[in-house]
Amino acid sequence: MTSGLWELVLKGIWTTVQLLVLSALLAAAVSFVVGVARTHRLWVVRFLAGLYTEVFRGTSALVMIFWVFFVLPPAFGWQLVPLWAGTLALGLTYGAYGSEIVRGALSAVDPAQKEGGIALSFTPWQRMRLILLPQAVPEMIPPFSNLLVELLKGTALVSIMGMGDLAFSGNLVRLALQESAEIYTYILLIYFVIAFLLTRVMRGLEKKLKAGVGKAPARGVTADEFKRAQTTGVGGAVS
Amino acid sequence: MAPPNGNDRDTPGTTRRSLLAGVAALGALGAAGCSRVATASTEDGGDLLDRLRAAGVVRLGIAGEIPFGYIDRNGDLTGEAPELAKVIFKRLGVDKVQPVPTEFGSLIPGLNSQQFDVVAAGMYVNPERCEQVIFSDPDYQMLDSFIVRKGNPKGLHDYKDVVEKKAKFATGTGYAEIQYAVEAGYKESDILIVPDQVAGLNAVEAGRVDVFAGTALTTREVVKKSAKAESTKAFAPLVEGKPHVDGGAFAFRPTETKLRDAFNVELAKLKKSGELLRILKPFGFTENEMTDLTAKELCGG
Amino acid sequence: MKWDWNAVSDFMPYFWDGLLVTLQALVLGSLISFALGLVWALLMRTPTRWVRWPVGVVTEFIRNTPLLVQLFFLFYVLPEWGLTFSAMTTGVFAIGLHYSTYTMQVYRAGIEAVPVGQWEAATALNLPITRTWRMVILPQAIRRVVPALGNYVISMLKDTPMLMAITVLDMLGRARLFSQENFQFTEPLTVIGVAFILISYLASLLLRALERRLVH
Repeated sequence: MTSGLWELVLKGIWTTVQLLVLSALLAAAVSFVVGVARTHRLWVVRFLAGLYTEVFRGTSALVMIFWVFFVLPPAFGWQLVPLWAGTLALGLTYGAYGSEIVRGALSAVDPAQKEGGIALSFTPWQRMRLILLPQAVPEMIPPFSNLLVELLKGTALVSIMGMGDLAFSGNLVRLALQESAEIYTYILLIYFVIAFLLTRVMRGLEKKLKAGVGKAPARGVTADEFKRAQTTGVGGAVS
Repeated sequence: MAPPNGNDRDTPGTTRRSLLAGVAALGALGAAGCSRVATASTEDGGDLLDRLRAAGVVRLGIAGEIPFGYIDRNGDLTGEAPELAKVIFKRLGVDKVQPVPTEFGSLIPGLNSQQFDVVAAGMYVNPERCEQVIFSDPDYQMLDSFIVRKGNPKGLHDYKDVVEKKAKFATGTGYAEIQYAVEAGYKESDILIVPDQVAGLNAVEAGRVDVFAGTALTTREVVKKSAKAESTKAFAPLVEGKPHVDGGAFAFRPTETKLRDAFNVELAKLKKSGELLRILKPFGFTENEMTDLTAKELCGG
Repeated sequence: MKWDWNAVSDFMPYFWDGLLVTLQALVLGSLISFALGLVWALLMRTPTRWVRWPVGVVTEFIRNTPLLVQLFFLFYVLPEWGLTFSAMTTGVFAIGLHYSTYTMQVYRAGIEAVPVGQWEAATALNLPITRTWRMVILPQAIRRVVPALGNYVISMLKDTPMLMAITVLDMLGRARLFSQENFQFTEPLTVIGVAFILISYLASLLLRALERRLVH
C-alpha cells in the first residue's frame, strides 16, 4: 500500500463521513416530521405519513439509490450532485425507519402528561415541544443509535454507483494492486472504528438527555442494562 | 376555558422567524445540490467547452482498466486515454483533469447524467453506443483476446471455440464482447458479468469460469501478475460474419458536438505529428494499434 | 417523463429469473442466519470467558461493519486463500453470517425472557441440561422471537440487491444488465422497486398474522 493509495482511502473516509452526517440530518428531520404526523388528529395526515413509511421502509435502499442516480436525471430533468443524491436516497429511506422510532416513543409517553398539558391550556405545538418530546427523545436514543450504525453501513452502498466513498476506495486499491486481503481488512476496521465512536457519542447523548429529564441512570447501572434485549428494529417493529 | 393566548411569547425557540430561516437555509442547500440538466443548450452544438475553459478542469470518467484509464499504484490518474486527454484539453484551454472512477457499464449512464464530462476509458465505438453518446475519432484500434487458465486446457481461441466447447464465459459490465459472444451463438443468460477485468482474472483463476474476454491489451496487462492464467493470441471478433477491428475513442454527450469537433481537430494533429504514438507507447501500444478509422464508420453511419 | 411499456414487457422474463434468485438467496440466507445465530447465542452463555469474549468481539465486529464490504472481502479474498465458492454461495453465506449477529441478540432476548421458574423446575425434575434446553427453554424462547426473526427476514430481502456487486443476477442485477444493453433503466428499475415494496408489505402482513397466532 503506497502513500498515494492511502490518500485515496482518506478521501474515501471523508466522503463517507460527509454522506453519513448529511443523510443522518435529513433522516432525523424526516423521522420527526413523519413520526409526529403519524399521531396527528387528522386522518388524512396520518394516512399519508403511514403511506410514506410503508413505501420507504419496504423499498430497498440500494434500489432507491439507483433510482435517484439514474432515473431522476433523465426523467425529471433534475441533476443532483452525487453527494446530495446519496443523501436524498439514504435520508428518505432511513427516515422512514426513524419515523417508527419517533412514533413509538411518543406513544410511550404517559398519557397523563398529555392530559396535563391540555388541562394547562398548552397549544398542541407547545404540548409537543415542552412536554412530549423532552420525555420521548431520551427513549429514542438507543434505537436511533442502532439506526445510525445501520445508516453508516448503508453509506457503503453508494460505492456500487461509483461514488468515491470508503468502500469504493477499496475497489480502486484492488484494481491498482490486484490484491484484496489487505485493503478490505483495513476498510472493515475503519468502519468498525467509526461505528464504535458513533455508539459512544450516542450513549453520552442519552445520558445527558436523561439527566435533563431527571431519569439519569443510578450509579452502578451501566448503559448495557438499558440496551438489554434491544433489537435494532431496522426491520421495523411490527405493531 | 381561556384560549391559550400568547403564553409562549417569552420562551425562546422555534419562532416563525427561525422557522423561515431554517426553510431558507434548506432551500439554499437544495439549490446548491441540484441543478437543472441542460436538456437543450441555448447554444447550438453545446457550450460545454466554454464552461470547461471557465472552470479550468474537466472531469474524466474512467473504469479502472489498465492500460486504458486507471488509478495506478501511487494513487495517480494515468492510462492511454487520460494522458491523451490531458494533452488535448490543455491545447483546448482546459489545464486540469479530474478522474471520476466508476464501473465500465456505468460510464455511459454516468456521462449522460452529468457525473463527468468525457468518457476517457478507451471505449470501443459501436452502433448501439452511438445511439446514446457521440464519439471522437478513435485514437487506437485493437483486437480481442481471452484470459484462460495456464496452458489453455480447453483450447479456446475465439468465440466460435467458446460456443462449440460450451465453455463458461465471462466478460465485463457493458463490454462490447458481450455482443460478440451472443452473435457467435452463446446464450446471453449464461454469460457471467463481472465488475472489472481483475474480477474476471480471479474468476478464471478460481475456475468459476473458463474464459474472460476483453481487449487484447487489457488481458495481456492483467495476467502479468498471475501464475495461474494466461492471455491468448489476439484475434478479430466476427461482426455480421466479417472480422471486425475495434476502435477506442472518447465519448461526449450527444448535444456537445462543438467540443467533440474541437477535440477531433487536436487529435488529428497529434496523429499526423506522431505524438499520439509517443504518448501511447508507454502503455503497450505500437504501430499496429494506430488507426485511421473514423467514428462515423464505426457507428455504422 | 417518458415511460415505455414495451421496455417493461421486454424486461419481464428477466424479472422472473431475477426474482427466483432473490428468493433463493433470501431463503438460504435466512436459514443460515437462524442456525448460526442460535449457535452464537448458546456460545455466549458458556461460563468460560475464553469462549464468550472472542465470540462477542467477532459478532460485534460483523454487526457493525457494512455487509457490502464483507461481501467484497469474502468474494475477493477467500479465493486468494485457496477457498473458492460460487458467487451465490459466497453471497448467501455472507448474508447469513451478517444477520446471524442480529438473530443472536434476538435469541438472547428470547431465552432471557423465559421465566426463571422454568429453569428451576427443570432442575427440580432432574432433567439433563440438553433435555432442558431442547424440551423446555428453546421451544418457549423461539416462539416469542419469531416476529423479530421475521422482521430480519424482511430486512434481509432488502439487502439481497447487494449481491449484484459480486455478480449474482438477482432482481437488481437483471435490471442493470437489461439497462446496459437496452439503455433504458427507468422501466426495469421501477418494476423491481415496486416488486420489493409489494413483497415487503405482503411479508409484513403475513408476519403480523403469524405474530397474532403465536403470541396469543
